[in-house]
Amino acid sequence: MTRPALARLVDLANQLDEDAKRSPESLRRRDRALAAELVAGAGGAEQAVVAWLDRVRPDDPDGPGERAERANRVLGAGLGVLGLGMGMGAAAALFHYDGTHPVNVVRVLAVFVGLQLGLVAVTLLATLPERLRRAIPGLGPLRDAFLAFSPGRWRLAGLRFLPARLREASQQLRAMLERQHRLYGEVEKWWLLAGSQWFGVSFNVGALTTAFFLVAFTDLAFAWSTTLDLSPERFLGVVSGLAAPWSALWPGGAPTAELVAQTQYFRAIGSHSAAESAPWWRFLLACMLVYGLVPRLALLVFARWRLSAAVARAFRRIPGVMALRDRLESRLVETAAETEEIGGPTQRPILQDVGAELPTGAACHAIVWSGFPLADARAASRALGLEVRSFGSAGEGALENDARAMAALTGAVDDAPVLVVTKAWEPPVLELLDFIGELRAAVGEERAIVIAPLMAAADGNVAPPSEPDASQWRRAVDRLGDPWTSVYLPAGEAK
Amino acid sequence: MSAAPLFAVVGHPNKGKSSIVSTLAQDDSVRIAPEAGTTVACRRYPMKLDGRVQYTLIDTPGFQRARRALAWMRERETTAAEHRAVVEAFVEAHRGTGRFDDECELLAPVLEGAGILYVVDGSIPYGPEYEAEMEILRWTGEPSMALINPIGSGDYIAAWRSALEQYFKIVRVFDALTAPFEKRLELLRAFGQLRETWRAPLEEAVRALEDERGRVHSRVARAIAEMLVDMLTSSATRRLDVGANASFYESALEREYEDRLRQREREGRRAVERVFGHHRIERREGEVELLDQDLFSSEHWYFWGLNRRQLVATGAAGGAVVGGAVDVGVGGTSLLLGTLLGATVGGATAWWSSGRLARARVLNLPLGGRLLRCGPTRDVNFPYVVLGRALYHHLRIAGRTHANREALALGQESEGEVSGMESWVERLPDDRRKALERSFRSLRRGESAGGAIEELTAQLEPILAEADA
Ligand SMILES: Nc1nc2c(ncn2[C@@H]2O[C@H](COP(=O)(O)OP(=O)(O)O)[C@@H](O)[C@H]2O)c(=O)[nH]1
Ligand SMILES: [Mg+2]
Repeated sequence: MTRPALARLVDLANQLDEDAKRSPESLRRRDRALAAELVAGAGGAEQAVVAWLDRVRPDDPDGPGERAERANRVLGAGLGVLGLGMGMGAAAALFHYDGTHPVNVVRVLAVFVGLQLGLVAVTLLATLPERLRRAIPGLGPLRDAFLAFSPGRWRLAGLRFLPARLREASQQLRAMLERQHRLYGEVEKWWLLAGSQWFGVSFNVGALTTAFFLVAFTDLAFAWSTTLDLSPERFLGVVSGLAAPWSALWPGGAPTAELVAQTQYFRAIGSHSAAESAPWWRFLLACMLVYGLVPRLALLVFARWRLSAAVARAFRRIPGVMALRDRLESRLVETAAETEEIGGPTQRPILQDVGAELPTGAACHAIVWSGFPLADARAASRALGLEVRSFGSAGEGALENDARAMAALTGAVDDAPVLVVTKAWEPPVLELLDFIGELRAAVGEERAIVIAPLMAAADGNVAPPSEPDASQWRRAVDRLGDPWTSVYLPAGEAK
Repeated sequence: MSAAPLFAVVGHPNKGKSSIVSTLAQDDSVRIAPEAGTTVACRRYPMKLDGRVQYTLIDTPGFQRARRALAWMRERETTAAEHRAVVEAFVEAHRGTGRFDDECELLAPVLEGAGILYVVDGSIPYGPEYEAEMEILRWTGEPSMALINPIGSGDYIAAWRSALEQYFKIVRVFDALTAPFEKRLELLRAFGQLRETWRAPLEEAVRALEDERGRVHSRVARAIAEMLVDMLTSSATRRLDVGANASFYESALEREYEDRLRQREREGRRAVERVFGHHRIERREGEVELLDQDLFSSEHWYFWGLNRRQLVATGAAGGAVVGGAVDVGVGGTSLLLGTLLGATVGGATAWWSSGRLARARVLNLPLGGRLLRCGPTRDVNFPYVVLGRALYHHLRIAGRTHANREALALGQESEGEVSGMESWVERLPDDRRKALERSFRSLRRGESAGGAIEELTAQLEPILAEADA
């Protein structure tokens, strides 16, 4: 715990907000790398998050978290000074003695014991967990009122006196607490309550020191009076009860029956004997200490503890922390490519009409490529509905086969088109296009070469290709840029 | 061999090499097209654990001139022992010449020591054009495996198998487009069999992929929970002057609210897809509908940001201070009656005056007015509808390979499936349904949602796991 809790909460929220804009993959890489550097298994979940936060956001003395924290300290100091002042003022007023009217013990008790215990009681009610609070009718508004008025909130009034940088950071923190009330409600509550307790402690310290100072350096006379019908015996009962916690250990700190009897106001008024009523101060200071300062101190410690617990809980619950812990704890598994794929989409539109129809019965020379299932000229004539004058095969076995098929055509007497029957379902590989190029060289310009990508149907028949297959062939032939080479379009009525 | 294993996916063009790589590498950026020659250069897909490469898949362009390449090699072949050297000489002689670009490109990783994954399409017949390719690959002497990827509806797998077995010791059928996760892992394990030293890294990789898959449910659960909490708690608001006619703004505000919900749902979809490494899915889905009759509420707003309740609290506190001072003044004899009275009067005053405050103006700016709010929806069915849609989407994504480039149609072609998912809630075990309902109820009521995401995530995780099983 190297950094103040609230500051870290602000930083965490800021960091997670920033992270939300980055890609999950880059976050996983970054956090997993950080996790390897963090001490394994140090402390609980929050500790891991804190350690992570310190790594991604190296302590920045001017970060919003630090500034909010500094603003908080300044405001807290202001509140402390205010508490001290008010405590001193209250004590000065209540312990005022100008030689005429003695200090009224009842008033001192009412303010420093009655009122304070009342406030402590309300504080305790406000600290009840939400579920209990909802069960008690009327408690909700009471708590709201209490929190709205609590001195912890006065710090907000002090904001305007801060320098702009601190003020902005503090306002950001406030905005965050309020915007995400569900998430930070507890943090806000304990922040307010801790502030109030801090004020209470300062108030009591101020009051106690002032009272002690007055007792030590001035002559005070004490008396008690109330318009209530309170007999000295009853009053003795009340004060003895109040002194019970310490009377056994320190008898001097408890008022005696004599003292009570002698210092009732109308009796005391004549004598003004300071010395006689003096034992009251020991009792009163003890009361202020035990019923004022001690409970406040205890509540301050408690509230600070709860505040840090609430901050820790918020740490775990801020959206994004679960994902963060997942990133920190699970192994980074990457499978995708790290580089962009080379080369853009290659499809380009077909520039020229490359289709060629051969009328039924037209003469041609056929070459079957790569084992297209047509056995000979007869079979080819039948399947294609053409007059196949010569028949060869290429595209399988040794390259010499291709040469032989070509040589047979160079010798052909007529100039009927050369039909190259290929498997439409196979893509037009460069091997075939090379062959077409060689064939062109062999048969010369202007001799029609027709590439016939066809499907092999049952019992030795052929069928036209599917549109996607046909189009990839048209594209390939178009790319050849040879006006005498075309793609065979089976006649519409052909099988 | 200390280097991580390499696997080169090779074969004839257009047989699904890139598809297999895409599915195995869970990378939907791989260029896949019905046209041959889409892959023009080798691309590497390293599988890394915490940055350490476990194995690398290499997608390659297909063979274009296998017969001619083999002819070149045959001319220079003398003894079998030299086969590999001849292949090396071939690549050496032709690299960058433009003559055998694709062959050089695909043989390079093999000569680097990559295992050979030879891909064929089992839905079309075997043909002699494949012989040269297989022969060249055999000459490299690297360990190899054949993969039959049935692209279309034809079935020539048996014929392929007997042809391939003459060249490859291992022949497997693997459908790149539909292979479920377990099949993919099985294939990766088989890759490890190609060479003794490859077994361990592949086993480790498979274990890591399995673990990762195990975490998927909690990640998806979290993404869905975050989406649900946002959708159930968000609203659209507009500040109106006191005199303004609210109904005039309602339809625009309702549209804004609905848009916000839909936007959030789309974000949720994307988040789930990202969990699975899908980044480019085109989705077609009907938008979520709101069923509420009344989505609107209005309250007074005030310039300094306090609402009526806070104002009352502040007023009461102020009253209490005054009353408390009276108590002190009378020496506590009033028994804090003053405080109580003061608080009541202060609170009541604040309540009464808050309506008027709203109408006051400072520098012609309204001090207060009405806050018209649309949402959050109170419809008790809404969370279940949203969740049902999310579960269905999750199922479709979980089963989708990265080679699949079709748009994802949700609930259009198959109404039955969707309504099946919407009634998933009836099939939930009682305790689970009750727990969900509790979470939804407290979200509806706007009760503390600090832990709502955590809570819902925990509830959704087993539901997702079961839906997947
Ligand atoms: N239906 C189906 N289509 C596939 C499958 N594998 C590949 N394809 C399709 O076949 C075509 C070529 O695939 P691609 O992976 O680019 O092949 P490559 O050239 O070998 O890399 C694409 O249109 C793919 O969508 C499969 O298993 N099933
Ligand atoms: Mg490819």
